[in-house]
Amino acid sequence: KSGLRVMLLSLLLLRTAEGRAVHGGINVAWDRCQELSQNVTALAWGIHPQMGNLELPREEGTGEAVDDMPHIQCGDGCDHQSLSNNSQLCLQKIHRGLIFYGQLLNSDIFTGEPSLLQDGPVGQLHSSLLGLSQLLQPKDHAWKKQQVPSRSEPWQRLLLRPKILQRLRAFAAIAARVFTHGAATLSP
Amino acid sequence: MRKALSQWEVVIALCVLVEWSSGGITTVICSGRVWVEPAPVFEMGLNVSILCQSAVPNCQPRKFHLYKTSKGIQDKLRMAKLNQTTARLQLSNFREPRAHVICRVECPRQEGEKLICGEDVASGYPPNVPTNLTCLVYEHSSNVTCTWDTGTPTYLNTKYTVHVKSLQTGEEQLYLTSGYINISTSALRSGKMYSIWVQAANALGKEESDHLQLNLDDIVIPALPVITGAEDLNTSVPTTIIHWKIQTSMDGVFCEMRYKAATRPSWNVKELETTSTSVQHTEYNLEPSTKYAFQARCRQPGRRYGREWSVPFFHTTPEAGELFRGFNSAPSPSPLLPQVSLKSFQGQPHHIVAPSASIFKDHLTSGKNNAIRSQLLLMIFHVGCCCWFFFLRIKRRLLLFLPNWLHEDVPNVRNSCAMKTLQEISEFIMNNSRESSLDPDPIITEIEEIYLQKEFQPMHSQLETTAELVAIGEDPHISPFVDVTVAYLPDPSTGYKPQISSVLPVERPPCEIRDLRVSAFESQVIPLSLGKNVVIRNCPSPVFSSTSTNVGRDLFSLEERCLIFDPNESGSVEGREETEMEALMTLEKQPSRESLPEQTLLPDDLVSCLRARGEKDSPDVRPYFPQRFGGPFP
Repeated sequence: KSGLRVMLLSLLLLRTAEGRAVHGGINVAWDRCQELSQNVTALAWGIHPQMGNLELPREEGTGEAVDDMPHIQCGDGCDHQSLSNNSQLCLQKIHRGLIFYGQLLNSDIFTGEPSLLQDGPVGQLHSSLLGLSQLLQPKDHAWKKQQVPSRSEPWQRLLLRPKILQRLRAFAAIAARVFTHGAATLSP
Repeated sequence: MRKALSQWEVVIALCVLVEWSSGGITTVICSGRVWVEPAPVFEMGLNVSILCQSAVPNCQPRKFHLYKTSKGIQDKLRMAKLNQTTARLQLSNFREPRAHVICRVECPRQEGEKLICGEDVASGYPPNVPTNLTCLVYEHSSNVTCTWDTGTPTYLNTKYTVHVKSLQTGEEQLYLTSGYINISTSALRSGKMYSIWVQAANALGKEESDHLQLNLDDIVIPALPVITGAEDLNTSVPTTIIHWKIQTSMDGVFCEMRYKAATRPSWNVKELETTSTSVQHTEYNLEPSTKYAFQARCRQPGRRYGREWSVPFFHTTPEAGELFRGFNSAPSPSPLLPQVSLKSFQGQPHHIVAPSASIFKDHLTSGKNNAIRSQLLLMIFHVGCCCWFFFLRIKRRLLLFLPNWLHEDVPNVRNSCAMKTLQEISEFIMNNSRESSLDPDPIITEIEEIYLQKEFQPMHSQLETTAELVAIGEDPHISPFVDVTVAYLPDPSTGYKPQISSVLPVERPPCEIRDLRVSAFESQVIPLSLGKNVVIRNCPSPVFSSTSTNVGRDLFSLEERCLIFDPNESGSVEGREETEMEALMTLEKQPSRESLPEQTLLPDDLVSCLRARGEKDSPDVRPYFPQRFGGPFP
């Protein structure tokens, strides 16, 4: 029995250590995350004029749709004080958002008709999101687990693309500030 | 610090608010509908109407806007209201294959525009009847590959349905594709005989091809051979061996290989002789420094299938060997020497390689052995030519280190006393001859003979002398000009000049070159008594023996033979040949202008000698040598 207990304890310790390595704030490469998050922000803001003639007038929100995207809220521990105490919760939230937007950028909304430039800014943005998420969770396979958005009509994509980019810019701005704060105060 | 924290929280709160207020991020909610009349997919060029009906609550639209996006260009169009909630836009001669339209409205007392809905528009053509339906089974493949011509583009999403019906069991299978199709032979288990046809369909119509009846055993295509490599043999006649490999195991097939220079449009096809082994090789005689493309195929005779060629195999032949490259050395100026026969070796050495022409007849397999034999002979002959050529060049180099008096300028025949005398005689005779007749020049042009009176004697001439003298002439009284041949040769700058030569008396035996050389060593000076001192000196080089002359003679013979292969090249005189021939002539004549007495007349013996040679070969006494003649004293 003692041997079994030691084995179980060892497995528990290993899993805990792995979890800290993945999600904990100790081993986070804050400087690298800061660099990549700033790159994501720049790409997201720079991509708009290159999207083609997608300038549609901003429509009023109806509030009827159900928002299924991950949010960064006040209780997610992304403020200065919470980040200094435990950044794990905030980083998980950011990671989830990165996965979500990366999936959208890889969906038919951006890859279908009307087609965009291959290897254009959208592709670069997708790669940067993937790189940043792998910095936070190297062994994560959430990219494969995410559900693919339902197929859209071509004319609908003309409306969805700017809307998604607008949301991504807001998300990337918050993530960049989190990593900037972490690089300045939490880096060893 | 507290201030920073408060700003941080405000940013987060704003972002969250923005996120929540944006609604669903992957869905679009319509507040009405948009439709196209007569249909969202229509024939290109039609007039269409786009209608928008608003269902926005608490809004009677003030304006309807239609955003049309096509090929990355967006247009904002004003729609005409039909009633309070519906508007229409008419588009004439619509020819855009793809377009996306989105309708928005402006509501009274509300900012911005409300989305109504959108629609995708497409225009194109119905499909053409599929033609040229072909189904094949490539050897070593387990698929039946069917292809067909789709006709003109439809600009629409067009699907093709392949119908495969067994003629033995009646079983029918359908395969949906957008182009060609591969059907596994394992799926065709209902016998060997099938009827296959294709149906093309899109939103504007459908068409069906002719039914193709086939036997699976008759549509097998032999596997294409593979060209594995090329090998260049280091022989005088460039030879390239193409290695290729047979891939088919079918009986009754024959293989072909075609090749062409990469820059040429036409192919040369050669039927390949196969052996029992799979690895084969074929020899070609190709032009040097040229990139060639090779393709091969094997097929069954009489079948309409299997006409495809293997992927091109490219090979660049090496540069011509040093043996040929030597002929391309820079020429040296010497304007009047008979070096024309060397011309054919220079410039384009490959032109004299007769096998380069024969390779285009390779498909005539009956003459293959003869071609190989002739190529071999030509190869040996060219090697001989080239060896002589280099030998003469070496001699010419050596002469540069010798004193001038040993080898100066005798080949410049224009300045020789004999030639001067001949020129003057010719001019005199041309002016005074009473009779003339045409005597054909065996080489260049017709020859006019003029029978000269004995009293006609040349006035004077300037001749060159040398230290060692050879008296060619004898008593001038017993060697009169019986007749004078006037050959009309064009000017050397443009062709040949007229010339005059005496005819040898019948009783006088022709002078032999060998005798002249023997007498040269006697160093006798015999003036010619034709009224003036005429001395022709013919002195062999003290360095080289008379065999050198034989070398030159042989060379000329070779040159003439070489010219036979490319007679077009024998028209001009190049300086390099002249220099080479000058070196040759130096072996035969002794030049030294400085210390020679003036020579005024052409000795009859010289004329006889020259005439004797001229009767056989060419008019060697002309001031301008014909192009195929090697020298005045070959």
